[in-house]
Amino acid sequence: MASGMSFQEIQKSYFKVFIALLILTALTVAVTTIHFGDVANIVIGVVIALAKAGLVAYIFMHLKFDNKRLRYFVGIPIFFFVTLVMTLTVLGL
Amino acid sequence: MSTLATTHTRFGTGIYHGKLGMWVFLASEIMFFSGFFGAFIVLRNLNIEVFTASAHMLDKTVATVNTAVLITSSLTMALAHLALERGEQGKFRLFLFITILCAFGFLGIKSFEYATKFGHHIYPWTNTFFATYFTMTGFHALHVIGGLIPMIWMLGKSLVKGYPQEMHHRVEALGLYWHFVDLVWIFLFPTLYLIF
Repeated sequence: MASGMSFQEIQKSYFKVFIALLILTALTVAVTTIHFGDVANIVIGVVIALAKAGLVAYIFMHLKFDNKRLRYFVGIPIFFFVTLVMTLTVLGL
Repeated sequence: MSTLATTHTRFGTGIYHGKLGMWVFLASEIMFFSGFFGAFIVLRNLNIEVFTASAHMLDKTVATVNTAVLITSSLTMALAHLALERGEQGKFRLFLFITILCAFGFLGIKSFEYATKFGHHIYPWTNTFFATYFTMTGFHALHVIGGLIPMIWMLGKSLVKGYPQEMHHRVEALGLYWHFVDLVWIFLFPTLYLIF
């Protein structure tokens, strides 16, 4: 682990991410009971999912600790995915 | 000779081959699942009533529990790698074992969901929503099984003669795959169960 973080710090960050993921899961389920409007509910769901995905990729998948070039590399398919989803969603509105 | 001497090849990304290879594979996996999400959005926009009615037939509670199970397995997988990196064989075995249990738990809950749907005479050919639902969750479940096989192999190896500490990179690469499977579910969960 070339991050300069101690094992204890890394372990602590894993548990923090775990708690955050559980809270965000509870949150994304809770907001479905409130009707903000069809589009708003979808946007909230996607934003929470992206936040969870970011936590998993950054901490669990070590993108925070690895060489920064890996982030650009991984970013390319994610860019295509987000573009595809957004384009199709906007076209369908 | 001179061309060889002047060719400047850059190494040293600081990322070992196994990890880089796994990321290349995961990049292709992102595109694989993108196709499903694209198809889902197009079909949903064409059949909004069918999709809304069908999605309300899914069991949100069971899916929420399954999300928690998969998140827990991601945590224990990360902890298993950390333990092996520190040379703690006992902890490594324990966390890997919990990860395997969670994976079986996820598959069990998913099977229960499928069985309930079949019991209500709902099949992949029932309508376009269930066609995409069973395709997406089915391929995701196959990925879970695909992760279970090397995990069980690693646990078996560690029980027989101990998993070599210097091979912790393999556990990290498997962990990357496992977290990706978790990531796919993080997007499937709101898409199929929550946004309608």
